[in-house]
Amino acid sequence: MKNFSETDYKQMDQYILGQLPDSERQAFEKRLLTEPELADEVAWLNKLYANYEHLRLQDTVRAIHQSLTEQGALEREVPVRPLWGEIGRWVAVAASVAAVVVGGVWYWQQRQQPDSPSVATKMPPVVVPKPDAAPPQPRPAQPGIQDAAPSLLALAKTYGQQSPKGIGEVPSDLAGPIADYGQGRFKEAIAQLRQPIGRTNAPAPEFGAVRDDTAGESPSAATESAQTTVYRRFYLGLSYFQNGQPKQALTELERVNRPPLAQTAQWYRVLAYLQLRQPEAARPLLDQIQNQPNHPYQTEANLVANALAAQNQP
Amino acid sequence: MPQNDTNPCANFPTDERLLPALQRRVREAIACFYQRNFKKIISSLGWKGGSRQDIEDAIQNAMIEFMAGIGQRDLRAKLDTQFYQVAKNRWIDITRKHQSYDDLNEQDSLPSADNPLAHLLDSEMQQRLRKAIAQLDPRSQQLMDLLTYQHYTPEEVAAEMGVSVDSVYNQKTRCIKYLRRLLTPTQS
Repeated sequence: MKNFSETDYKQMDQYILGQLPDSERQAFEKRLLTEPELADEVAWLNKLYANYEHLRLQDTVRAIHQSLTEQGALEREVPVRPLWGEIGRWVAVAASVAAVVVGGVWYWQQRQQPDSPSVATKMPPVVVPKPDAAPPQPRPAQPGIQDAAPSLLALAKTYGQQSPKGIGEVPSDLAGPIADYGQGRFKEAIAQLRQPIGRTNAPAPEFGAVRDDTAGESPSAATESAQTTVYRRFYLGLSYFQNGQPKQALTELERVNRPPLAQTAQWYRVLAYLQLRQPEAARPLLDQIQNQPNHPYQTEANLVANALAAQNQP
Repeated sequence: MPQNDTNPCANFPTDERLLPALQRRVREAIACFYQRNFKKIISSLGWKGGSRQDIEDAIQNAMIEFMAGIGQRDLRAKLDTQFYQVAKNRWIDITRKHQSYDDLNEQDSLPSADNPLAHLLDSEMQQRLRKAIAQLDPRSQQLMDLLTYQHYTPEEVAAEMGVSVDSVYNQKTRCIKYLRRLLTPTQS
């Protein structure tokens, strides 16, 4: 690699930023054509600046999001309603209209009966619904489940964005998938981590063959070390979690029961249960974490436990 | 009058005030813009069936993309309108991605995002760059941030850091060479 001077770098910067006067720019572009090392260095600098900027933007936006979330400043004013919520809303509207109509008829009858019983007897019979056949009212949300669901997702997301703690030294043969994980390429990470290292190039099953998620997991087939297996499952669980597949995440993370990852996996199981909107399943795990003084996620567990408790307040 | 820490938009009542601050990556301005658009977009896209997490991902990715191109933006359209379009595109990307996962068809290629940064990013370089930046001393980090992230001119950096312009170039060259050394794969 050529050792470029400060003047070279200054000129490269000015070229990249479009600050070179025309004559100098043309001269510089001639150099780029004849000096491949200079051209490489300009390309590398461009890449460095773009990546540097992207990293800093990513960190800033995530930090702002987390800070605003913690302040409650991102709580929505209009709730996010999935499809079933839309249907429920229309059922509630229909029920309200029905209740008003039935109530109006009843009220009209009550007004008519004492004053003019003869008129009332001429009226067609009004079917007054029995109490157990009352028009459907919106069912009160189950505490801590439906109402809390978006907040649970927000909690899972907020804490899930943090880098995993206390994971020790990661086996080098997992560098590729972990790099994908770090870059948010969860699908690619999952594809690599689903099989023991060294078997990722195994031929795909023929069309129509039964899908076997445990392919390659047999002890005779696996060539990776036990330590690598634990890390692989751990990152597979994390990738599933980040990819919005909490059930699969739980399956993997429950199998991570060796130090140094067991405690961190326990925390991510909590997050997976929050993502599944099952705070009841997360609570025993939170209790366990809170009761381990040296648990790396004790503070977070306390915060989440408090948040869950606050959501269940009437 | 609310305090700025509780109302980050207090200092940016108009787009004319907000845009230059966003271009300088003023954190308070970014927080203001993010907060005020987050609620609008959650409300707008939420009822179309996306999960909260999908929309949050879309908004964060959109914010990064929007800020990456903020230097080229102008006020011919409202900033909120411009941002909404970016967020909507990112949301569509995420929705499509989920559909692709649901199909479990590994042969299907995902539609490529039209994010201008997408082709520049290199996962290995990003990983190593993050570590390398952490190894710079605080003053070098400040200098690189001002030049590369906040897009200050060398003259402005010199004034900000109380050094000469030559010193800015000199220090930047040293930083780049240092990063170059850390980021260049060693030949084994």
